[in-house]
Amino acid sequence: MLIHYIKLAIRNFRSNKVIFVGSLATLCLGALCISLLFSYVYNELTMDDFHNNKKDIYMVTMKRSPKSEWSLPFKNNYDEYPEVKNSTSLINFEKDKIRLKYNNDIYTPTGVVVDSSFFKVFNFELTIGDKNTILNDYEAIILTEDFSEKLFGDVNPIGKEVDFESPIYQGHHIVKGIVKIPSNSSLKFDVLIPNAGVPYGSWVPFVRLKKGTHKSHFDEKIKKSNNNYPYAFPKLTESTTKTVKLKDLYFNNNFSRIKTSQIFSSGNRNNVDILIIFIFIILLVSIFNFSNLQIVNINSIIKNIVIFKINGALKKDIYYQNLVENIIIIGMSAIILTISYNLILPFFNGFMNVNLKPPFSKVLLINVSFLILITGVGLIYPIIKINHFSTVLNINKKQQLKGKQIIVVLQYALAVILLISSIIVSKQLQLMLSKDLGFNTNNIMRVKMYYPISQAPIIRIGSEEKRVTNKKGITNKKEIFDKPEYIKNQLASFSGIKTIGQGRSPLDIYQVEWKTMQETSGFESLNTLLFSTECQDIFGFELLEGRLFDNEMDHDQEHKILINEAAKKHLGIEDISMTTLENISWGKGFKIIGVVKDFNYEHLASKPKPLIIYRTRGSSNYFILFHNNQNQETITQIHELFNELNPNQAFNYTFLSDDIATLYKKEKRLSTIYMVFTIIALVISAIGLFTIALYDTQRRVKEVGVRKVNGATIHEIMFMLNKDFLKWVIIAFLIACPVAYYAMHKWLENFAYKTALSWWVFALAGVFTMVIALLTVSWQTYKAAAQNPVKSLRDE
Amino acid sequence: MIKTENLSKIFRTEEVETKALNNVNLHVKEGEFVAIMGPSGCGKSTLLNIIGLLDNPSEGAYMFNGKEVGKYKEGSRTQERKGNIGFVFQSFNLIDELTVFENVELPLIYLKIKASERKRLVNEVLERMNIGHRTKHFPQQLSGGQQQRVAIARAVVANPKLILADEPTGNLDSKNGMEVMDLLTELNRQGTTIVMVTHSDRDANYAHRIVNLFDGKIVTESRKDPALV
Ligand SMILES: Nc1ncnc2c1ncn2[C@@H]1O[C@H](COP(=O)(O)OP(=O)(O)OP(=O)(O)O)[C@@H](O)[C@H]1O
Ligand SMILES: [Mg+2]
Repeated sequence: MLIHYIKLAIRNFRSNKVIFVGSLATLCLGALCISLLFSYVYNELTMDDFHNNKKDIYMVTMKRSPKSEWSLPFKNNYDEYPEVKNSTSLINFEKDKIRLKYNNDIYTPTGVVVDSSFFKVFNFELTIGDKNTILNDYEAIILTEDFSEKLFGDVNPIGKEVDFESPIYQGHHIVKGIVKIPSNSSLKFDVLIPNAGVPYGSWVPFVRLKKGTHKSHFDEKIKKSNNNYPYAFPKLTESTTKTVKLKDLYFNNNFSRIKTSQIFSSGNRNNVDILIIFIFIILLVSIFNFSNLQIVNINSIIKNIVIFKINGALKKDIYYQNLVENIIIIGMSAIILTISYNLILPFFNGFMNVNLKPPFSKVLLINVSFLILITGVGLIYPIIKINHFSTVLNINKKQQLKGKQIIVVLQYALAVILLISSIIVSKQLQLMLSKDLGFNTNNIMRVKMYYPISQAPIIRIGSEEKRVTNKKGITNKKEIFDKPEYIKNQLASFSGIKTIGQGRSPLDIYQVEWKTMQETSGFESLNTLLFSTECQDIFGFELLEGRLFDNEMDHDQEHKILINEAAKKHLGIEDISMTTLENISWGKGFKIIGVVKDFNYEHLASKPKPLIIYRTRGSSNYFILFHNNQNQETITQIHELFNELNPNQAFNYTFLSDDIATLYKKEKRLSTIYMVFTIIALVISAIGLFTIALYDTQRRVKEVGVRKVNGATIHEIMFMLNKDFLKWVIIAFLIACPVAYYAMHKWLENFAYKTALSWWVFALAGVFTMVIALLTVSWQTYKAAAQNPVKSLRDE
Repeated sequence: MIKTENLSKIFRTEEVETKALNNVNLHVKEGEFVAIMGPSGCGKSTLLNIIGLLDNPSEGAYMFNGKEVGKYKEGSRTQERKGNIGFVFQSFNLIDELTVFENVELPLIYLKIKASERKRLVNEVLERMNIGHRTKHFPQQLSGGQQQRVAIARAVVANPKLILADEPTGNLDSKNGMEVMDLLTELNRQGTTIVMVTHSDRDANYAHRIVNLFDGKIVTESRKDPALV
């Protein structure tokens, strides 16, 4: 019996090739998109779930004022809290602050210095090394699998010696462990260094609470725990200590400070939600299409079904027959799908900047589940309908499954919604990329000219002999002030350079607690920009009142600041000469010397935020304004100077305009992803329309013949045939427009600067869809219309 | 074998209600060869479908082999039909995707007969129908007469007691038509009951008895002189 079903299935595929190939294509394309997006979304939503105690891991935070919450910047002792099962702290370094030397190569990995209890809180697996003891070995360094491969290739990394350098700690280490970082870890690093007693740094403390402890209870208990902390500067009498769940950290937009380190990654819940909607829409489009192909299929074999029944087939025989056909299709799709999934995954990973490596069994499971979902749901309607067919062969009255039109309309409506949305998304992106930011971003090179090592004590750990090491890296006062002078003089001698400034990039903003003298509700974190006087020219700030910094009038360490319009408004300052600001760490009496016009230094999703500008010198980070363009000769000169100052080190520079483009990299990627998946949804829909057009025109061949014999031209025939199909697409478009309009209106609310929902976007989407549909349908209708009527009439 | 009492069939569509059969009382004994005649649309095929358990009557009773089957559900009708009734149609109704052999094999598959036994039965009946040399062909590759012979082979392969033929010669030229009629007559001689719908007087002459239908009613029944048979 089974052989009979399989034989029939294969014969049926052969005589309905278009349906068969169309079904395969629908399933493979649809399920491939869905599986890929699902893998990504699943990874985002299960962020940090691999930690056994994911629900009990908290970062300890500090609310310095009602308006600002930071991670608590020092480690603490939790012995007196029975709720705390384990606690650990890690030292977080800012981007580019650490270097690792192996042989003569210097790398700039991301890394953390961790307490010995690190693995008691976080569940990272060591492929080599013992979790319980390795962090007590101060000689040890743990590398991730990927970083180890970058450093040593296939060579066994264990026992290799490397030098670690950071502003607060240097050491000679031996590779003793290899750690695995799952793709759904929000904590990302290349190296782990055991903490041998580094006393300060930007600590990020974590606690693992006992099962069943309520966050609110614990928060209440530790509220005042850090007020008397002896090392705290400034005194924290007004602050409260709290916690934030590790699981909530990833999608949390606060704590931007720890996130500048690249150790703590962050996600965008909004984008994940949009991808979920995409998954649903593509799923629906695939289901609709599959359903439609099945309707066409059943309509084409309806006569056979009746003949089977007349010859003794029961209903269940017909169902089994259908089931066998679909199992074959699912099986073939599963194979194609799993192969293509694995082929595409690396590109998808690279594109989405993730590192998904689902095990084969999981891939197969996901793929087969989606295939079964699509076919299962897609078959509900045809199967129910098939039940109502009578066994009587009635050649005059052809029994046909109806509902194709409605399904095509729904399917196209969804595809058009995707298309309009994708166009709007890329239009919005275009707006953000081309918007005048209000400050100069052209021809500005950003380069770190040297890596300063602080004067603070440097701890060197290791075996006796290795304690004595070279003094090359050690900084002294002379280096801090002489080096910049030398660099400046050298740079000034290069003809391609117009202006040289030093400071933090406006794109890499720093948050510091400020308040006006009058303010009583406490400090709040405000974006603060630190740079030298020259940067004002480089960025071309526009002054609204007061004056800008001036090297003659202003001196180092003076309490003078510039603010932007937004800050003036936000802080409620009427007259800048009547107010001074207080900084939580730097003290009181900051005079406001001027107000600059707002400029967009952050992502354009938001309007310019309040900004405080403080003048400093001595940053190792340089802004170099080129004369007219980014000429290669000057870049080479700067490179040579860098090599002179930092032998053997990699020269890294960026141009500010590229940094700004980087801000939108994620959006750009997503916008491309949306477009690609939209096109796939349209392709899937076209497969359905093509198949329906093929079978429907075939049924009308005789009618076409009669009309032609009676004088109809090819054009008239095509118009008549196309009209029926295109009617559905037009209805779909009319349904899609208001839905897409509403959805995009909502979406644009996320942006401070919104692109217009122009009529032409809708028109473009409509025309595009129509043209594709027209081509799809005409392929068939032309064949029918052009056929010699004598032939078609004789055939019947 | 077949006994209908006041059998009626009404087709309801959205707008119209058609009374395709109106109080039909028909009796067919085992071994009989009955022809049903009448103008187009008078209900011949409808009657045949009901007799063949493909459809239910709207009213009246239908006794098949002594059982009241008029109210049977589709599943029970199929069970009752399996192996007992063979069908032959004007348009052959072969499955294009299956070979001659596979088409004839169909009823045996649904009767769950073993493959080796199927092979024997199918080859035997194809020999009998004189198309044993065409078993691997597909229906499209055969002439109309050959196709109808395959259809008859399929109808009889399970050795049913009753064969229902709806205009079996309607699509054939007279030579092929006669061949088909000879085959049916031969089957009838071997004991198979045959009910045949036809428009052709010549074909009707092969039958023992002719039933004339008009507007869903039996108007006349004529029995041929047994001596002529
Ligand atoms: N499924 C159906 N739905 C509605 N009406 C039907 C259906 N089948 C048959 N009829 C109607 O019932 C009447 C009898 O049809 P039937 O097919 O039995 O006629 P017939 O005698 O076989 O005609 P012909 O010689 O043309 O084959 C006709 O009027 C037909 O239109
Ligand atoms: Mg008929």
